[in-house]
Amino acid sequence: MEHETTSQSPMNRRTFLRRTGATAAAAAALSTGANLLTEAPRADAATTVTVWEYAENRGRWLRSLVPGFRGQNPGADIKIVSVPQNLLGTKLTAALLSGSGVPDLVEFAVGSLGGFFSGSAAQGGSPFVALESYLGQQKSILNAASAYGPWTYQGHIYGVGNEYNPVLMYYRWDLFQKAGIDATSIKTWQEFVAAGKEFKAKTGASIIGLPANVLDYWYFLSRQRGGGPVAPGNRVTCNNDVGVGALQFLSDLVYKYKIAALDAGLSPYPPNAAYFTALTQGSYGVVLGAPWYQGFMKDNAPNLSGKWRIAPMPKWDSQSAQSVVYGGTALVMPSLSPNKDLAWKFIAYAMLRPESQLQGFRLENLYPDMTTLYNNPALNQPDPYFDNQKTAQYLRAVASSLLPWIETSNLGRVFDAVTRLAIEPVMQGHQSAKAGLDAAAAEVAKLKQE
Amino acid sequence: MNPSTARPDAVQARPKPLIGQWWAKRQRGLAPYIFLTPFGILFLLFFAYPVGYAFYLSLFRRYGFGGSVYVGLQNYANLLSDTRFLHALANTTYYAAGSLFVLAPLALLLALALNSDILWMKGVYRLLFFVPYVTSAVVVSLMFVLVFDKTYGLLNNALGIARIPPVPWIESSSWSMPSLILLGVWTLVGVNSLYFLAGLQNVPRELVEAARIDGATGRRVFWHILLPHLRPIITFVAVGSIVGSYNLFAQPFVLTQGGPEDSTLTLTYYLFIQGFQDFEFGYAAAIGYAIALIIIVISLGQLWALGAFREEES
Amino acid sequence: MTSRTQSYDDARRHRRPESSRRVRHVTRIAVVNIVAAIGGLLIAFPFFYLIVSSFKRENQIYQIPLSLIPQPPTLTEYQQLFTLYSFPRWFLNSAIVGVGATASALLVCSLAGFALAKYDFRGKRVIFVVILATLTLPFQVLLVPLFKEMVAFHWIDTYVALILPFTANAFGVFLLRQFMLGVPTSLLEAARLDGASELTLYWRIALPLIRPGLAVMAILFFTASWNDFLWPLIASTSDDMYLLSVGIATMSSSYNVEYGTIMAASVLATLPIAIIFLFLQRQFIAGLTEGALKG
Repeated sequence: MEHETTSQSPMNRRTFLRRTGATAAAAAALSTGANLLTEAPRADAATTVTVWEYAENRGRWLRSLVPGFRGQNPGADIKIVSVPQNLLGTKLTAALLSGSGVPDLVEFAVGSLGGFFSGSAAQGGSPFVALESYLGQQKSILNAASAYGPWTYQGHIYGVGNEYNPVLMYYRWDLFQKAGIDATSIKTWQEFVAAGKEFKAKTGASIIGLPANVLDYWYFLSRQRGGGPVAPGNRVTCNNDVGVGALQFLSDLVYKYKIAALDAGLSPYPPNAAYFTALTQGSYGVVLGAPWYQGFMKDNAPNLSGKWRIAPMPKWDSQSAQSVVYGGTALVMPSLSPNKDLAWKFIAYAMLRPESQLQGFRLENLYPDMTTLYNNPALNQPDPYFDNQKTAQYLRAVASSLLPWIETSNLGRVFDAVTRLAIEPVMQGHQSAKAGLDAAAAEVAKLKQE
Repeated sequence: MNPSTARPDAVQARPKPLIGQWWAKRQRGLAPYIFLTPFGILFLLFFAYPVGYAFYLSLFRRYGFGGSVYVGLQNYANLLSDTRFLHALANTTYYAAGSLFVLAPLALLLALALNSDILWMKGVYRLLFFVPYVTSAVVVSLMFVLVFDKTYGLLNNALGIARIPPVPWIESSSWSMPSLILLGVWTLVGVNSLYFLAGLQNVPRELVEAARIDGATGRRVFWHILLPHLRPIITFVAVGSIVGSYNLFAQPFVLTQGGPEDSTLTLTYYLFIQGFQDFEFGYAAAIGYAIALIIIVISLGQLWALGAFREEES
Repeated sequence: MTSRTQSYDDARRHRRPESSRRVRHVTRIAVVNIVAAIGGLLIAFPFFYLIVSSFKRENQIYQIPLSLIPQPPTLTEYQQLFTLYSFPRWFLNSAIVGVGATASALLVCSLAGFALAKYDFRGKRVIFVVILATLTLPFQVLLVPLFKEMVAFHWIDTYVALILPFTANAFGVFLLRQFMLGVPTSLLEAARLDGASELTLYWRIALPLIRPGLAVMAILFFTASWNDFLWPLIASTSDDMYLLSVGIATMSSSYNVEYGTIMAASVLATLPIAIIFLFLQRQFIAGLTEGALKG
């Protein structure tokens, strides 16, 4: 059927050229089009590993690794395909269901893998390859909580991530100084509220800006006390005291204490320009996020360089953890991957090799989860964006009090239900925290029964 | 284009002598079937088969990628008690009604203006009215991020000039659906006015003039001459609008992700979530069939209300 | 045109005194032009802003007050399309698929429309109703089964997978049948008496007569193909085979959204269709007037 494609193209290309004329674009198109016609049939399956990626920054990093990998594995090639993030799952699903067109490796963000296992335990057969035997002794090279935790399901490791992602607090030291507050003295969320009131009084700014969808912040605050949306075994815990308390606290910041701004748009991420402009304008004093979030800050609020400092997140009480793992992306190998061994070689090249990880840090601020690198000078450079503080120092400091990510097959659904039925209505003041989270838990429970 | 280069020889090299006699007699009877064959094959292959397969799927509850359980019509029964489905149905109906009752009158108004002899620069309008329709829904949705943005959006900045406080167009659950309707009207009002324009140009001029001479007011001419003549167009626009509305997907997908608080969750979006987020393909297929049924019922209702059947029986 | 206007004015002259007639006429001109201008402006403004934004630097898009003039205008965003993305390739893909889908759908649907309009045969009504009913099913339902078929045929990642599934277009058959109904049966009968074959009737008589209808459908088919998004994403597994719409979506959904670049891509993606319509708009209106919507 290939020949049908090619036999049709010359005519169409002529038509196309006639329409557009000999513009530069057409000339460029012509050259690529010519390649298309002369190209050998699709690259030899045995030697090419196809990788689907969804985030531009990580895509750049992975592409930068390809030449070196080729050099080490003569005859092998890596093909990196960009897929829109919101449709990566759809595309993969279609491929998995039909058993063809499946890539050798897929990037999975935290929280997106479990859904693919929903119910299949009862039926047998995993859509992805368990990587323990490939990893072997090398497993300990990486920090398990960050590198494997979010992609571990029922004891099996299905993905290897390369980012160490404890959540930290970042604050505008210049604004805090103006307000006469010592931000490093904020150890608890209660102290955070007190500081917020003073901050507001002195600077007129809000200590924190809460977007309409503060799912992330709710996750940080509830997970910190050992709670969170789910517990192992698909147990829904979003509406326990910890979960309700965290959401109530967020809503109180806005409605009771009146120290948080609620005009921050939909999310704290690009492309929500409103959020980053408010940051740039000095409307908010604090943001929370894992190291990857630093990249967003640098890209989207570049002129705040030097005005930020880093601190550990405040805690609830002596029992709560100092930080929680949030975010990260792993390479996952579908069971239908045509070249498993070569695919694994690429995982190892990208994830288990110090040079590759350092490259990710250099290029895209991806903080390595390789324990042997924590003292590497490259990671311990003062960061001018954060007033020459060293992120690594803070990351090491929280390592001993860090709660891992829990991946279950219903996690995606719980997050979804919590967003729709709790976070959004509660933050809009339409609903109480308890009622909203109960409704979310009930919806997920009902699905389970059916 | 394509056919003119590919087909003429097929016409000229018509076989004559051998089966010619037989063919000459039969070709008139067989021709419609032959003409329908290419369509039929492609239709069976790429429509009928997938549709049938989707129905088969709708009889199963699918568990992940491992296997599936036959449940008969249970998926359809579950729809009736699925509050999220009913919510999506209400949202979509709101959208369909909103867009129809805003869209059709506005389009007609623009068409009347376009049809008038005293309008300047008609060509410009025709182009302008057409372009939103042919712009990719993805592009339109991304464009409207810059229109609806609370701080940087065109709308709120325009309102700001008039000292009207900013509206949370897509951030609030009560505004999000009206905003999508606005987006829908913006996309479609132009092309629908071109449809109406085509209809208006078919109204015999003598009829209008005669009525005028008889002293009919503009309003009477509109209600008693123009509108009855536009009935086929109104039917076309109304049915098209219903089909489009109940299939609304790209705009909420790109612009609001169905939120906030599910306020822009449409039926098709819910189908998509069930199928590709929660992997309930059987249930998703059942939703698809429900959507088709809803559209057919509403369209038949519209056709009946607009009297399409009375004339069609010819 | 002019004579019509003439008689129209003549008719009105008999009724009212000169001065009041003039006032009314001026008011009418004003009302009609203002209504159209408001509608036109509201429709045009987002596009205008899109074009303006595409010449802005990324950070200028988010500046209050919004500027309607880029200062200074820059082509950076357009350059990025060619340096950072495979934009020319996507454009080429969209053009090939668009032309291929349009040509094949025109042929297949006009043949079917001709059969349904100009012949009496068993099952005609049923076929017609079945075709119409298919318009109501959302495409998402078909996604998985269709994908499985493409895999079975080894068409994934080819142009064929992006063209063929939409060739048998129910809407196309419906409208082309409407046009074909307008072809005089007497003409066909006369040709038959002259010994013309049925294929000749279709090719030499019916098709040329419904040329405006073909223009309408060509525009609609091409537009649908050019803008299709979900299926091309699913059915192409390498980004060399992405269409423009899919490529634009890849720019927008990762965290680093390059709005300026997206706007530039959107301008270039919309331009070809606007230009095609610019040339075909008379035929388009004529086509609608003559056939499709007569009911």
